[in-house]
Amino acid sequence: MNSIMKTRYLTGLLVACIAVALIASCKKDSKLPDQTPIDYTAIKTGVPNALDKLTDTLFKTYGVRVFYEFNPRVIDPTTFYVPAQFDKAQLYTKYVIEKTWLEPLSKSFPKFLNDQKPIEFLIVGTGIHFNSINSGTAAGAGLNAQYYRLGMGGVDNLAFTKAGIREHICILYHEHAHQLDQKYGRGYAYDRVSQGTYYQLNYASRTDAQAQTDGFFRAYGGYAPEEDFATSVEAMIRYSKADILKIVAKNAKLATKYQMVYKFYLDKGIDLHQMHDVLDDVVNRLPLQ
Amino acid sequence: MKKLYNLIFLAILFCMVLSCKKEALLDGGQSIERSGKLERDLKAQMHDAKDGWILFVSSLNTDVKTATPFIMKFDTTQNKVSMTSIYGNAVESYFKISASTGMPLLSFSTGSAISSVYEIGGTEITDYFFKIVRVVPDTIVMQSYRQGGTYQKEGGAILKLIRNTKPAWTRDWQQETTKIYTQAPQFFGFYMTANLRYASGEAFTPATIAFLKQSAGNYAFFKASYPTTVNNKQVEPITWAYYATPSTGIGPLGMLGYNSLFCEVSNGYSPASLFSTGPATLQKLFKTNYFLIRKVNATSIDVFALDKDGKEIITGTISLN
Repeated sequence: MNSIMKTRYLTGLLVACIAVALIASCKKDSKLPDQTPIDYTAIKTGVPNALDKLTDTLFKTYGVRVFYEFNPRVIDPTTFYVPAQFDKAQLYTKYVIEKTWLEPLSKSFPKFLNDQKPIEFLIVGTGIHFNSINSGTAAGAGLNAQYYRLGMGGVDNLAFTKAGIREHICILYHEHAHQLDQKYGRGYAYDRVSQGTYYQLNYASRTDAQAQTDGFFRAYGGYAPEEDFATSVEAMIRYSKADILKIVAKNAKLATKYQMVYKFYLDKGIDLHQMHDVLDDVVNRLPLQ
Repeated sequence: MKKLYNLIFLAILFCMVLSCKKEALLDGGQSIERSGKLERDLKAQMHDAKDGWILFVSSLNTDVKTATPFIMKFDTTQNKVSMTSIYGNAVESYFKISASTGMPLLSFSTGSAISSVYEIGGTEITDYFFKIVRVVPDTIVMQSYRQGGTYQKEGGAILKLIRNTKPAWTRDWQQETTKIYTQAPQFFGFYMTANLRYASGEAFTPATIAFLKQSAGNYAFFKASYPTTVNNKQVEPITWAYYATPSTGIGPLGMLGYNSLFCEVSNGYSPASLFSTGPATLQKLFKTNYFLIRKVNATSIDVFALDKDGKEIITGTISLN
């Protein structure tokens, strides 16, 4: 090795040694921090009020967590709505969610409730909007195309009377039907029955009576197959079996779809006609006007 | 020369290795500390203000020169807030404190006058979530979390909660407890004259107005379906008529609130003459969207309105003709 090579070798070795020593001297954390800088999900809660206690009881009893207060982590910030008034949220939780929805289902059709319940239920004061609080027609189903979460808007305007709750529970089953539709699919055969006869946006100019002769339980069901499915469930919760049979007798396609939807639910563990009768009885016994 | 190069190389290497020291900016602990301090200060200030806080909310309508006051008392144990405003007296709702981007987030978490104002629109309240920007003695600075629309940037108007030191107007406003709607029928169905004085010195031509009760059908609709009158039970819907000439009158929707008269522009309802263009005409005429009531006399009502600093900028009387 000549002297130039030796010098370069020694210089290189020296540089490598110093680099290793310096890099090794950098202070290292013994472990990675196990916390994010800010816990965005933490909410500072005060003393639980009566409604908080009721929602806790419902969660322990049925496994459904009711939300009536919101921050941007509960519903994403591209959704616009207003929380319900506290008194309305309290009435809704007790008389709609507990007394009319969860309790009767758990007594009459526990398997259906256990298998098909959402684990979250959102109580919202206004309708749900998607561009701003004042934009367009409000939607409820927008919250309900999710398997784990059911949400109902317009609670501030709900009449907490027997008649008001009896009608509203039909809408709740309608929204829940969208979840089951998303989850299992209403089926290829279902969509073929009324294919080509849906009103689309012209449903608004049809009456419910006209819709029934055209093969839909009500005009909105004629909008599209998914609403056809959901309004069929809604109708079976709203009308007695005898009335349903009279309606479906008006149109063979409606009769076919009725059989499909009825069986769809029966396979999941609930007889919608029996549920209709149960709900009539339950709502009649509510301590409301 | 080569030794010099080697030394330069070593010096650069030395600097590079030294630079691997952690940057303080990357230390999340500072965010926690800053946000935590803001939150502690916020809760301490909320808790310590015996008489609560005053928030002035400006309209986005540039014709309106006044700002609407809200007096809020926070109970940090129960997470309750009691609000006194034109929408009602000491109405309770709930609030929650959570986290936003490096700062606390105050949510008026159940329906309240704030969510009601947000729902109608047209004011600086473009959300019911507020980022807490700064907390200094006697002032809490906050910002609406959203500007109101999906495609707008994050963050609305900067608003200030000012500690309530019971300024004179709070006493003037709250001493009058007569409910005009139920206890002073003499003011309904008759021509009246509004006479206003502006602190700015602007002239006001006396205006002929009238208060009319809504029909039974309309009243039922407002109480069941219109946000302001559904959510604020102390508010009564009326027709607040204005006659530019004896033969040309309009009949916009007006509200009798807590010791107050107000009108709001709501674009979500029709007809426009009742909900939007009509109230906008009144707001332009009076340069305010509300009057606080100082006193109800036998044949007249003394009113006033404030700017965003709490200064009385409109003083007036509405008298039976």
